Amino acid sequence: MALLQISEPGQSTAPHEHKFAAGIDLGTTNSLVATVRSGITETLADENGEHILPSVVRYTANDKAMVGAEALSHATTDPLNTLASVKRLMGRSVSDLSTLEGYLPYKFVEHQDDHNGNVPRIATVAGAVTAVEVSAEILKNLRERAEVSLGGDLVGVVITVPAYFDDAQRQATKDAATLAGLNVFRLLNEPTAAAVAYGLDQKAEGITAIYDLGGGTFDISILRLTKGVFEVLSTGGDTALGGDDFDREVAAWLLNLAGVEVDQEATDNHQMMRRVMKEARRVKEALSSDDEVLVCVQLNDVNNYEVTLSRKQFETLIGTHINKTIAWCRKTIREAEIEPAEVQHVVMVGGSTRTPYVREKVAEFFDKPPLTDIDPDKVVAIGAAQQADKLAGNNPDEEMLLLDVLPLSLGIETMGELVEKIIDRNTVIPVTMAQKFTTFKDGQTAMRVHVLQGEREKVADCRSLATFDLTDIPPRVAGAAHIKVTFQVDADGLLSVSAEEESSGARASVEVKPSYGLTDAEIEGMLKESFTHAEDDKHVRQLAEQQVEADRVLEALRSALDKDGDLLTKDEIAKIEQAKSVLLKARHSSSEGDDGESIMQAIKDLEIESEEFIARRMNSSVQKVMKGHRVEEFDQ
Amino acid sequence: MNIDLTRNFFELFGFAESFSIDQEQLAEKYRSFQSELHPDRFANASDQERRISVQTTAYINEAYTTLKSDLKRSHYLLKLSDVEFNADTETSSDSEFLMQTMELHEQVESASGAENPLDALDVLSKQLKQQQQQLVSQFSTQFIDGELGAAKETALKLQFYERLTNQVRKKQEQHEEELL
Repeated sequence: MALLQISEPGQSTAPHEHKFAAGIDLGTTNSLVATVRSGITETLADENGEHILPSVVRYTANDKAMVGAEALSHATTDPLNTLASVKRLMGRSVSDLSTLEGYLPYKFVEHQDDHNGNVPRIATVAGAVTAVEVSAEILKNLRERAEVSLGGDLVGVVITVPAYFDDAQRQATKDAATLAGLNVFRLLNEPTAAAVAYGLDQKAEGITAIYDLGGGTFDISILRLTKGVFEVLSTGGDTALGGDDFDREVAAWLLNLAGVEVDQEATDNHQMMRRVMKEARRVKEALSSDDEVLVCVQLNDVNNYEVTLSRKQFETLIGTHINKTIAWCRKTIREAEIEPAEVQHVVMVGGSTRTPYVREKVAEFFDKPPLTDIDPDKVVAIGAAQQADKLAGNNPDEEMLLLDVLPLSLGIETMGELVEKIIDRNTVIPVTMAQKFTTFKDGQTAMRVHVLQGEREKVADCRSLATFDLTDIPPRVAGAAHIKVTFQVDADGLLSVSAEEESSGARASVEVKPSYGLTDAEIEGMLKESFTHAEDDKHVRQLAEQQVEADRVLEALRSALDKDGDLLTKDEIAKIEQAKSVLLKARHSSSEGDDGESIMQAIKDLEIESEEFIARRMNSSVQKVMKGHRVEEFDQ
Repeated sequence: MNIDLTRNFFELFGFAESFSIDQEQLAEKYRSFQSELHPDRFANASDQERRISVQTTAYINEAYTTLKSDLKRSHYLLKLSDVEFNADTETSSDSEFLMQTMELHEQVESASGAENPLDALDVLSKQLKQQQQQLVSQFSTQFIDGELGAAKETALKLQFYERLTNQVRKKQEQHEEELL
């Protein structure tokens, strides 16, 4: 049993102080926030006692954006300003819109300005908005809910994303978090989060399949858990397949039966479609417990249209969608190089797994009943909260590491519009890979690299992520300059690129132009926009941010010096202490109108001074493992 | 970066430079590295520390992937032994093997055109795995005996099998997609 720690009155308990952290499930249809309190993980409710926040935002002409159930209640009366399912648009380009399955009842801004790039903008009474901004509103709402409920600021969050999200979609999610003022510890794959929730409860060792059928996305992940480490063996799925499709099938069946044709442009049709979709959803949910349900909806005339739908009929309607998910299961299992019988646990995630036919089909394929103990709507948020709690350092003794893989291969465009793969999918991340390029003209000083993500061979069949312009290449004869481009994918699955001319050692500049997604400058612009009301606010906010960052840096350094100070000579320590005291002074001497510039500079200086120390620490950790000792062995 | 990561992968994981390594020990060590160095361990640290952690774990991942795979490990060993070799462009010069490769290609095509292609491809893929396994033990012996030229030939043959297996997998995926 762990001993309780009691500190003297007035003495700081700083090292063991509980830090507020949260897990956020940012879903297509619904979102949730959860946290660990007194050892119990729970989702947090709003002031009305509701845990689930509909992922819906309504924009109005004068007021703040409305989020959640309140916004949803206006869906029928104000359809064009009430935005739902924007997760489907995250990281998507204008040209992707036509390929998105399903009906998106918004008006998109038709003529895109050049500086807006290729990001789809939705026209609302409050002006054009992007999916990133809409998602930020949802995140802000959850952040406020958590901070009110916990009584303090969040130090960081874990946000979940579908395992199959590509770089652009992950980046868009992170951008939304930045806009909402959240510090992201980690973007976590939704199925991995679900496994965390179950793994802790059940101490499972072995292979687990996570079947996640949400409102708009389907994911299947095969994970291996060994000694507290989750490895993702393979992932598969469809970013446009989910319970909403069931609703659409019911709606299409209903409209077909009633002989109604839908003109997508007419506004009164928007309203009717909302009514039909709402009824379709109610019927779907009722069929989880009832054998037949009476459908009743007002179509284009005043009278209600009534018809009965049986569970058997419903199962025929949704059969193709479920078969599609089973085909994905088969494919993903093959990629993991295992047999279905080797899967020990099947975890069900997402509201759509409440449909009995889904559970039946999954049980049949894996030949074992799936796990449904934890609420399938909450299990992802719960797992994310547990991981956030650990990353915040609230559980220093507990160690659980999540190893993730790259969901889709990364490649570059080569001659003939073909894609050459640089990093294969399912490679464990973080990963770096270097690729060498050479010039093909005498005196060439620049070149362009086109980065794509996907499995297909042709450029047109993969998703374009970005183009990189390498400039400042020293002029040489053709083929003489060797440029080494390094692609790095971090633990969140996000790509960064650097380049170096090998013979001269000159660094070529890399300019990133995301193919879709927002540039850093645009994000900054949006951040600024939200402070335009008061210029002072901006300074106050920037200063506060720098102060928080300074505290983080100082705390990190303090604990590093405590632990590994003996790696440094007295001289070196003195130099670091010197830079530290400069930062401390800047941190506490800020005056009015200060925007934190001096703190930022002091942080930079301290970083330079401690670079060698950090490298030595990392080295000493490497050495320690090489020698075969782990810290825990000494603690026992 | 000042991290000393120039040592070779075998040394990093505490193995002698040989083809046969204890996979369990490899996995165990890999997990130890990850628990110490993964960016998640630095969630509360400065951006600087996180950056260095990403670079370090990326290197550990590369080392692990190389040692784990028979094919990659064989290529890496040859590279450490200064055997020059480009797996992308070179092919085995063994004429008997070349005849065999043509037959194998035909087998893939006929399995793919079979009445029940998924089953036929499954059978073929198991056969390929067995033949691959034989080449792996062959490489191991040749490398121990210091027959580096012969070992290189075997490595190139393994490379061929790798490509062929990928082709089979692609066919399997195509047939699976047809079922969707």
